[in-house]
Amino acid sequence: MAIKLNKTIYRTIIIITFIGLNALVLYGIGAAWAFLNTGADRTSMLHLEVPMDEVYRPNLEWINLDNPGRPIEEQTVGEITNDYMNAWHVRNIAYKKNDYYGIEDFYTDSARTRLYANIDLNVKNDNWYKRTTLNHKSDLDFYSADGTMVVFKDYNVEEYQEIYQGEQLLFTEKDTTSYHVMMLLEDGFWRIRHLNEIPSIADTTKTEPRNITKNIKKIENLKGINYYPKDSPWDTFGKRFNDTIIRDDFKIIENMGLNTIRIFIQYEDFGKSRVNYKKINLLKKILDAAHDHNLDVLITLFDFYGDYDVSNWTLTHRHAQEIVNAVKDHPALLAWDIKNEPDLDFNSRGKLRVLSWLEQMIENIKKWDRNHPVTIGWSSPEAGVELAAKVDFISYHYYREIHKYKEAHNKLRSIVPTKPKLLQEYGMSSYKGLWNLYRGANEEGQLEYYKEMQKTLKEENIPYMFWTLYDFEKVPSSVAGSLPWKTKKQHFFGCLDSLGNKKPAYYELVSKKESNP
Amino acid sequence: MDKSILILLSFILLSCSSKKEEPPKELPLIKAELIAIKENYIAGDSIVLKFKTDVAAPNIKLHLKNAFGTILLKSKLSHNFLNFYIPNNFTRKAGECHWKLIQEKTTLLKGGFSIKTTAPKGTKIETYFGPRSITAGNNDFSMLIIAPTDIYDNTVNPGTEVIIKSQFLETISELKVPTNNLIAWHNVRSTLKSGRILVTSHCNETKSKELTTIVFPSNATDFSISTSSAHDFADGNQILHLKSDIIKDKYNNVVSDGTLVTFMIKDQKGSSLFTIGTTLNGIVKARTLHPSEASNWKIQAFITGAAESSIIEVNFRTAIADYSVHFSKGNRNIDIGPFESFMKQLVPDGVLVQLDIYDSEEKFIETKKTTTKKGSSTFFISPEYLPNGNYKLVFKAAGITKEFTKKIHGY
Repeated sequence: MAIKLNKTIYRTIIIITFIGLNALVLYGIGAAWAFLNTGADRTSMLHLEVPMDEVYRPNLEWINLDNPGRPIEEQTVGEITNDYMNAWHVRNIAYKKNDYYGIEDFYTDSARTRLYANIDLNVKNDNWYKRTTLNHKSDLDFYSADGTMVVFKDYNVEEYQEIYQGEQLLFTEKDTTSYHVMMLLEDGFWRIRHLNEIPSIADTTKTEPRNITKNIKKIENLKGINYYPKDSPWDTFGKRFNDTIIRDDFKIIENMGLNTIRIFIQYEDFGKSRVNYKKINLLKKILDAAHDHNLDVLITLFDFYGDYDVSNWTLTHRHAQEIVNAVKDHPALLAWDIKNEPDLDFNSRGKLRVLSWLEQMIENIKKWDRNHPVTIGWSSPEAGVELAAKVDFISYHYYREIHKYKEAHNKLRSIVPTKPKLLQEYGMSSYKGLWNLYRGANEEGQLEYYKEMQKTLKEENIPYMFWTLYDFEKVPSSVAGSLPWKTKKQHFFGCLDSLGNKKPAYYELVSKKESNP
Repeated sequence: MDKSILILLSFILLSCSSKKEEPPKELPLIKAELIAIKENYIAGDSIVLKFKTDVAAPNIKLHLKNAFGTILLKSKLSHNFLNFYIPNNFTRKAGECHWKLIQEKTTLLKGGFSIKTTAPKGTKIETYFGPRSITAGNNDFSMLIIAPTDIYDNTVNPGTEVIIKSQFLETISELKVPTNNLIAWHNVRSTLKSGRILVTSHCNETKSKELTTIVFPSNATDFSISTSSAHDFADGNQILHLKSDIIKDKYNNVVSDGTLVTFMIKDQKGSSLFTIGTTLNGIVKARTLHPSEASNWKIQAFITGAAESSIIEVNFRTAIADYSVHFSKGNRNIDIGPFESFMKQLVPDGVLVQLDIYDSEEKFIETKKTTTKKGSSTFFISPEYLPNGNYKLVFKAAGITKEFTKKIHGY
């Protein structure tokens, strides 16, 4: 027995060793093969500059280029701007990762030792920083005759930083500092040689006063709808964009007696930090169509954007800036909704981070567009208290029990009594089927819902935008996932079915003429 | 078994629990008071910020920020005093330094102090000088930029005086320039004479090294040329030497060695020849072969984009008075020569002989070319190529044309 057992053990050991050896040999060959196939990309020999545009794009403006040294060429201004921004960027990244990487490309020998000393201290204390700069105003002092040295002042640099200890965010800091900078051209890079803090100058640029009373008035009397085209929900500006269909839809909306639509602009779809002008043209077409049908448009920005990281702030700024500047003078534009339901990201992204991003975005949009109010589309009335002092009117969504609505709204009203409060999304799906175990509302249930809801809204004089015009045949998985018991409901929120037939609720949502003199 | 299921179950349950944001602990904020700070420090001073607190609080931090970045300092605690020792890299950087006293996530106090440069301890000088070569005259200059710093690499205070000295030939000049915008600068103007300008600078007793810019002569001005040769016969053999006088710029500086000069030659037929040379001590030399027939050359030299010479004329007499043509082998073999030069000597090898063949109706058929060897040359017109018949044969050599009409036959 013992011998037999021994034999089995030996056999097993031999077989395992054999397999193990084979595995090792195969791994060895594989590793050697992989090693021989790696190596520097040949283009790296050319030392081409890595384009940094898409990672960091603060607003930089040269307020003066006159200098006693030598007239500066446009090309050089571009190169200096680029490398100066790169210097800030590598420094921000270095402080974020506590790593020297990239510093030597944009700081001279003597300047980089100061940064290295800081990084070493931060490593020792386990501190790190997420930093970004938002605005630069540069004023050229001197450009040398041989074109290898430049001295300039960088006024009122808006810096924002989050200070971390280990994993914990300690606090955030926003300040405005001005710098005196000397840069040298070395090995084709403009590198920072000296960086001194100097007193900031008072911002003398005149800003026109904000004028939003007209649109706030409109919001108080708003009756509207969240709009997506029937065949391309959550993709208004995609390949299936068809302004004939959109105009027909707007006609329906106009005939229902509504005065406003809400549309969504997706961050990636519009080209992130470099906004695609073709998409802007489509947006303008929608605005034109809305204007022709006497509809105002509430534009929701940053749809499907979920990264509020400080490192990417400047990119979102350029995105918003281009869109806002492109359509801010359009007569159909009613207001800007910065983000749809950002409070849902509080848990995954951190409340402070989300709120900081929203806050500075509000400030920016108010700066770029002086005539349109700004809001945030919170997912619940309870979230509406966040940043209430910053937004021009409060928007929230409500999909919960109908009898608790009034209470929730009144609570918000008692906390923020002064600003208009818009019920920006509400509605009821008419799906009752297998996937929700026949517990939902059918079309009659939807009618009941709107009957009661519209009554409350009228009584309380609350501006509203319901969800939505059509039942959708296809709902992208990015909206509600791909599980049928979650997504099925999403298909049936319309007041028209997917063929365009009027559902019972439609008649309830038609705004009576007498209430809309 | 039951136990293990229980353990497994509890693990699953545990892993399901989501991470809730903990409500911030409401710590009582301490009261702190800054007790020791100066308004101004000198770079390199040791700086300690002292705070007095109402309770001994361990978890207080100091947030520091200057132009180069931020750090967070832990305190050295002694009873109710908080001491923060500012690290070297902050004490050595002149300029503003901002601090915030932080308890957990709350800022208790904030303030700032400024650090002055430490000029008396010593100065370092960085000089940038360029361009390092300029041309003589009143337009060009080299720019000298001096960026003095203190020993900790802080730029000196604005208005610090920098002395700049420059030397050219016998003159040494000196001037004082105050720093402004981190630098002091001066344009070293070009001189009328070519040569080297040496500059140096010093600031607070620290001297820079010697820097040089070379003043190169300015653009050349018009000049004259001459030729020389062993004889004036057009023998296609002798070398014609071309030479300029000393080429100078408008300030009387001899142009730089290696200035490229192009000699353009036009003959009486309007064809052009050219040869090039470079200057040495202002003189350019070039050479070309005599023509092989009587010619009248007009020669002019150019320095592209800058100057030109006068035009000179050179005449060549014919060297070959005449030559004979001898037909044989059914007129297919043609011997031309001997060519005799001006002293009845055989011409050097290589005189071009050209034969144009026309048919009886004067229609051009072909040109054949050869050169002389030992004073004569030969054509053979092969029957495979040219059938028997009457042809007009035209010979051109040394500027002399001879015409024959021959019946080519047989072989």
